[in-house]
Amino acid sequence: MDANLESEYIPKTFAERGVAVPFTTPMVVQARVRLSDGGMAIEFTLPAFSGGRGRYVMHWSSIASTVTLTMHDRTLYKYLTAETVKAPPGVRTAALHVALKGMAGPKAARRAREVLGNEAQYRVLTNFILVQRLMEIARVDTARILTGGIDSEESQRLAKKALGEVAGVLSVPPTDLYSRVEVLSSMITPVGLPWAPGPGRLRALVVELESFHDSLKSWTDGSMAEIASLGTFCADVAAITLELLRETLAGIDAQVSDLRALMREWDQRVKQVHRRLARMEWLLDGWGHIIHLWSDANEKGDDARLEVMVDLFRLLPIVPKKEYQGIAEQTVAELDTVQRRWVRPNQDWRAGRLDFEAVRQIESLKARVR
Amino acid sequence: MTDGRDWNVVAKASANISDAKLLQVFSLINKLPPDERPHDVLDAMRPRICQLKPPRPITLQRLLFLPVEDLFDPPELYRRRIGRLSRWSIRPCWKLVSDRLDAGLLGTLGSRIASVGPSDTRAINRIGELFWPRASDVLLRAIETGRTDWNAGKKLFGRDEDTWRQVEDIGMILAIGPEIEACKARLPPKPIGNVSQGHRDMLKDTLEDLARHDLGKVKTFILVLAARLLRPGELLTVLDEVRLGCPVPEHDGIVRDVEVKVVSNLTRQAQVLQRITEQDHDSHRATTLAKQLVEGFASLQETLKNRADPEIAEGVRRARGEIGRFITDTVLEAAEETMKTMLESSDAPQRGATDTRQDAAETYALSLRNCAQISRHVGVEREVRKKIDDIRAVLEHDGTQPIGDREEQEHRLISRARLVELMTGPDEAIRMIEAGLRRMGDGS
Repeated sequence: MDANLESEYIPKTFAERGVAVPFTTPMVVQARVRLSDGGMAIEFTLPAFSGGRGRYVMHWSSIASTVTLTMHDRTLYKYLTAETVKAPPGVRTAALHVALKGMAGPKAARRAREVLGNEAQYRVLTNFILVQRLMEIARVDTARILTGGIDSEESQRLAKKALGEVAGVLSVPPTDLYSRVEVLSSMITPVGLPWAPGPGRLRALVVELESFHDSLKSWTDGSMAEIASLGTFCADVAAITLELLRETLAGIDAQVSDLRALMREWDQRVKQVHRRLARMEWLLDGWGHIIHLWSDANEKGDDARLEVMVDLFRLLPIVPKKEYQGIAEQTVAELDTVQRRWVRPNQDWRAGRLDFEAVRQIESLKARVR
Repeated sequence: MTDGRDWNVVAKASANISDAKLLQVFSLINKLPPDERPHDVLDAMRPRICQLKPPRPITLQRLLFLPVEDLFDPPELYRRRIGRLSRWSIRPCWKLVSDRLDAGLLGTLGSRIASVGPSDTRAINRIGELFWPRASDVLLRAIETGRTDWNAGKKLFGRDEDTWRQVEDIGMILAIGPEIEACKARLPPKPIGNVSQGHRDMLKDTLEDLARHDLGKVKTFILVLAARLLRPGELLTVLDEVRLGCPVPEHDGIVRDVEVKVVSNLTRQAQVLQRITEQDHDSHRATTLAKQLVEGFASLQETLKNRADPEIAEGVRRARGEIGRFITDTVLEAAEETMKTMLESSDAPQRGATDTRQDAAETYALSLRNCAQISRHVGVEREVRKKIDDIRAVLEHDGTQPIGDREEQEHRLISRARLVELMTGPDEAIRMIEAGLRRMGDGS
């Protein structure tokens, strides 16, 4: 096996941590992909097999020669390029397209279809309510753009016309305003506007992370099992992540709520929004899987809860040092020792065989993806 | 509703009502006082409830039997002389404990347990530590009294010696309830795959500690924990290695005694595979159990080799033969027909129905994979391999038949390839997809 060992548990930056890839092979589930060779190639980091210490850094060819990979993962790998792995959204889109083909089973395919469909609709809705708010700011009558529904051609023509009037009031050239509205709509769709009737994907995920934290904490507080200490740490990391998320989300909401200033001082302010949105994507990257793992185990009972602790800990998206300095390397190392005592030897990479029961379990979590 | 006939209606209906309704009925029954619960209805519901795993509140009765629960079998599957317990024995034991233990204490424990959540292991065990040894005293004393006063004993437990044995076993297990539950909390959840070195050390410490007080407790402890292990042989190895502070022949006697019971229990389970398939229409559950049993026998290999006990060896041989027959006569016999039916309906026009059928076909493919994995150990390797080859050929042919538009055809190809992947692995499936796409005029 050709692999380097990264001994530090806490990455310095998000880029060093890499993007979580929703593979379905148990040994590489949520492996993290990042750029290597000066951005020309990609490499993967994954928790040491058999509960060993640290993280392996491996190229795909090494992984493929060590572990038997599902056909889903072999297909997904083909979509991972230096461009798609730069940030979480690229990997997410690739994974949704592979799931759509049915590679992760019928339920995951159906879910991928729903997610992509909902996202397209939510983008239209975001664009619409953004235009509506701009018209309110400029005191232009909003009722007229509703003719024929929000995504009809007539409605869009009227919205464009109304935006022309808004541009005059805001003292922004009309063509600039059109393009700014388009850019902002696409950019903000994953989070959603603070006054939108329903939350965007990331905003909803923050709420799920809050519930995850509360539920995990309440269980670990009452458990006497040694392994529950891993859960306590996971809940602590979730709490730190939530704190950073709330602060980031508040910044986005404040910028977007002051639409007049955003449209006028576009170049400077949109960069801040973009930076914060990217931070949210990174902060939440990998949590979806963890949340579903826990909620699935939580429904099954205490044995399942105990069993899932090792996975939660191994796959936990630890906040990089650049974002938060309060997690001690020593604490993680000590907990790593606890998890090594618990890791199931049947996950031994040397066996190289695929455990399809575990694959199907992972696929069932994909059927809940956001 | 207290009429027995009404409960019979509920018991019969429980097979056909929805999951949600079943859980509702189950929760209502659990609200009744323990001695008023319709046990026939609960027995009828149990297989489905086990699958649904609803969060159950901890009652005082459930708390009492926590250390014993791994040894219980449903009455219809229970067999004597292998160290197991029938669920029927819950009732007389509970009656004895609730009648004879101090009412004040029961009341206190009852109200304390009622305020504890079902997952608060720490609090549950703290209450259990006050309860189990006292309950153990009640049961063991009743047995002792019964032995000196036969008529009193008969009144309590009847004439059947096995009932006496079960009550006594439960009493002995409850005596070490705190030790058992403390170990369970530190071990991985069941079924425990392999025992890590850290856990072996912990088990050795506990065994040596128990042996210092009473050698009999060691046997009881091992029997309970062995029931949680996928590879009980590993526990026997630990027992072999541990210093019990007794002469070697006595030590060997304990190991052998436990060994006989463990093998007999695995053999008993091998005999019910057929029944599980017929009862639940679930060959996947049965083949998973078969796989676990083969693992269990393999784990005993080492200790059995050392002892060369003909009685045990014969038991293992018979059980393996039983599993092999189950595979050929039950799983393989219906394989092609089952897969064909599932595939025909998986192309149904409604998407929801398609997903469910594909899901069922995948579960079935996994059953065949389970069979393939153990076929060598139970002497049916050739039969399983041939059957899987036949089915793979059918799937490959079916996956490339021209139907509908390009998207539909690709969907069918991938869904069939997934079945091949589950049965034989991803290499075959990828090859099938590449060949199929080439035929469709796309090599990507």
